[in-house]
Amino acid sequence: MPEPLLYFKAMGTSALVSAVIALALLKTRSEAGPGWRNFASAVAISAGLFAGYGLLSLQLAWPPRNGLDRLLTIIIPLALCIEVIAAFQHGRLRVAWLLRLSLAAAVPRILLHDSVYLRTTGEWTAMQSFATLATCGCLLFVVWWSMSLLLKRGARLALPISICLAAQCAGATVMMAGYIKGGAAAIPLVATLLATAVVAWLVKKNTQVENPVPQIIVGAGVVSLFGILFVGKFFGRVSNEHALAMLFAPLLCWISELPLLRNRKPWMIAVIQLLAVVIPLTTVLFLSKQNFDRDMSPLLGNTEQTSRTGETQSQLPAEHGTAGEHSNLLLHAPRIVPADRREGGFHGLARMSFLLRQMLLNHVLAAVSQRAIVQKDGPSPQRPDTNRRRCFHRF
Amino acid sequence: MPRFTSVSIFLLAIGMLANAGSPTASAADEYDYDLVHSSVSFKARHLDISWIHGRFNDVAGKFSLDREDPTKSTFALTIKADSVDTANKARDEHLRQPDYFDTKQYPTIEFKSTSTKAIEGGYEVTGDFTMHGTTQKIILVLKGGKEHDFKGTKRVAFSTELALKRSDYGFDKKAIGPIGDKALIMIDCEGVRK
Repeated sequence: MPEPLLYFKAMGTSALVSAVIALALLKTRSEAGPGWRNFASAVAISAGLFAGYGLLSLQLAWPPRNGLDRLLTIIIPLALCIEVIAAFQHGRLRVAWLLRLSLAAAVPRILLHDSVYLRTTGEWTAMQSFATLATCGCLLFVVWWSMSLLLKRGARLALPISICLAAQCAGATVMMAGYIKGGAAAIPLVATLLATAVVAWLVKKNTQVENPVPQIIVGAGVVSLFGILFVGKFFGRVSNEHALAMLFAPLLCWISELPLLRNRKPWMIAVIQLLAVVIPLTTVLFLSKQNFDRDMSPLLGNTEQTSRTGETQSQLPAEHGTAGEHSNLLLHAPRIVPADRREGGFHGLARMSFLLRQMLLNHVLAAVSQRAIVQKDGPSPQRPDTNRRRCFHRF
Repeated sequence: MPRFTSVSIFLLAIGMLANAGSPTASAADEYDYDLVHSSVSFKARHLDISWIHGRFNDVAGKFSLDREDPTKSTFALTIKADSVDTANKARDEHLRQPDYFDTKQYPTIEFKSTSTKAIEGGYEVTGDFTMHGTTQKIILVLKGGKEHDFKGTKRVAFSTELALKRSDYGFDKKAIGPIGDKALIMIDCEGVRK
């Protein structure tokens, strides 16, 4: 079962641990070159991931047993190592890109190791296997290369944010497709990458360094995004279209290179870049949510939200409604079921947001009715009802 | 020479008589799993108040029965995890995912016997049970084993039940929530002699 509270804790812990370590390491040698900055970021990211996955109690096996194990114990550490080695090459770009190319070619093969796709009696012929692995490797390399190039051309914080947004969206989509553990794995990854990127940017934003965002954030981010989508696609039920849309979404940051936008203010460019990335991601999330409501929601026993026939449903009294009978009458009153709840709801984040909304609504109603009681001349019988309607309208 | 011939004929006759008196033509009979008349089903607790039932539709196996020396009998069963069927398509899809059976990584559930002994009313079979990439040694008590000749084809059938914990087989502990850890597997198999 998805555990939103635990996910928030893991997210916060990962971000905090990464931010503190990155800050400590980057501040000690603030004038250091890209090698040290990437190394410090790698340490911060690793520590954040350990903390986050420890809190999530994510069972990772060694030797790895499945695609997710291989992603978290082999692929991401390899990506971090390669980016650190590449950062110490001092301009020898060929070596760096050869390493990245090797990893991009190996990632699909490693993730699919010993699965039905690669067995001789499995789902694919040898030709199909080769074509799929080669295509996936090429896709990863193209995205990695494009994002790195854009970073070199001066893109700032918007780039890691867009990669993190895509990775978080990928995690949510994988989770809504039914692979809960696979989706949850994205949470500490995103938190730690984002925290490290922000700290690196804050530490270096006023200095004359080439780019305040270390390359390792982009490298590890793209590999993580690809890995989550790949595992979700081949071991879970994420569709090809959704996976490709989320993988390519960060490439829309290239919109900043359009002549029309190139000379705008940096913050404006960043906002436009993020908007361009958010649009396809939101669309994918919306479609994934629809699929989830149709297929998975009934399995989670969301019967309270499947009232299709009636437009109203009765509400149990809230325990914290202490404003007397007036309040209880309001809380007992039939309530309008919002349109988005009639088809059943997401048991995780949306469910939590719904509960928070209900809590807030109850508090507002209690406060309003309490004020009505306190007034000496007494409330008119219509008054609470009017307030309630206003509240419904607002929420 | 005539003496040698008569001795040979005598021995041949003795051998033929001995063969005619034996219950079966060979010591061990080979049987194939008959998918039409067999089933592998399971049930697991839901919220610890009820049971969810399901079955695997794609099963293969073979066993050899040695009536004279039961310790030489062998049993093997291969279940395609992808064929899980709980009468709910969405739930079946969910069960195939890595949080549960992870059928793309572990496509089969297998049992292979390592030792067999005869007990009253059947056999006690010890073997390796592999599920979700984890192998555990288990003991199956097979009840039955009576042979039946139906339209010229010899059939034999066994039934068994086993209880196992999903957590012993590397299933994600987070996925052991509303669906209980313990699962009961019921195997009723009919073998058709080759």
